[in-house]
Amino acid sequence: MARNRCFTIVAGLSGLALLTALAGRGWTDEAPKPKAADRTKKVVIEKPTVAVVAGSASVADAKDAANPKVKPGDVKWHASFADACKAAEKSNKPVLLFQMMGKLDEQFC
Amino acid sequence: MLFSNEQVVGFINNNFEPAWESVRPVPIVRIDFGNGTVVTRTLNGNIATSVCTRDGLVLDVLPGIYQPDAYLEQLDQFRLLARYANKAMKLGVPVAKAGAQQQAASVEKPKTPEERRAEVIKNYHETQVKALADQGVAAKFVVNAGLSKAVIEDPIKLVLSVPPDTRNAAPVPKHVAKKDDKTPLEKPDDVAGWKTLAEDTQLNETVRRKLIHEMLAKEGLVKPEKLTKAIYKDVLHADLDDPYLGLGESLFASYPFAKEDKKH
Repeated sequence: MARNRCFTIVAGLSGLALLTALAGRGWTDEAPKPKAADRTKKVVIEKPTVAVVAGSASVADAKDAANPKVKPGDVKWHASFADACKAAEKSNKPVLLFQMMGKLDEQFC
Repeated sequence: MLFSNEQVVGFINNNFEPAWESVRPVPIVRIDFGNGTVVTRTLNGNIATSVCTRDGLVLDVLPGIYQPDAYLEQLDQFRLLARYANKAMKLGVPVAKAGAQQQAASVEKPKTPEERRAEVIKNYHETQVKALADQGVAAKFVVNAGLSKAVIEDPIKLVLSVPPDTRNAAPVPKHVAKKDDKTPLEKPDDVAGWKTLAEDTQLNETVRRKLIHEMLAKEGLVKPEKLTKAIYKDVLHADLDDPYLGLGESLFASYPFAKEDKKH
């Protein structure tokens, strides 16, 4: 019994050592686990922050802050001149093209 | 401002298929006063409103900014112009030249609908150039049928009629707000701003429209991209290919570090 118990303990410790070694070698496909000292930064703080930023931020955000987006009036604008022409073929209405510097859906235009 | 005006919005939505496009980024000036106060303004921007056929050809253009009621009036003329052009394609209607005796419809060799339309529109622009040069005001489309007839027949029986010569009359801008107007013009800036817009509207409808009509009479029916740069450069005085939009001289004329800046 004592022998079995001893064997079990040794096997367990060996297994643990093996797993640690494998993790250290990057044997698994996942990125190596951060060391204990890095976990707060990488897992607890950075990971959720990256997720939030990736979900909401975009390259244009810096520009948007300088020239925020606004509703381009109440006219039912088509997405493009070509779209307006296609709609005009069906509705038999003429096309009205409004050209400007800047963008109608930005505050400063 | 224009596209928040209920009447303008309603008219556009009911009568046109509208689209907007940017011809280039607008110059923006930001003055940072360094105490958290930042003032932002645009510089030298301008607009052009074109009415086009269903196949994307330009019939006419309004250059620049208008007061809402003048803009609305011109949009209505655009609506009638488009219907007039359509009718020309269907019926080969002879164009009545403004101020002249009605010409008898001559027997012409058959033209395609597109050719008829192009001819009618060219004639329209030439008539407008003449009206603006001789009379100082543009000719207007009017519905030339009585109410009952208009209901039964095709109501678009249009004749370009040139208004009487008003050059000797006192040159009062049509759309300048008066004291008893409902427009609240309490502050001096409001009055100045409204007056400036009225003057812009007047300039657009005389000098600039004449240039547009000359251009379109020469070019014929073309896609908007063929005209955009010329309209901005020659009519609105904003050369889209100039990185400084014509302001380079003003910016650098007496600036002591102009050469250094240009190097960078």
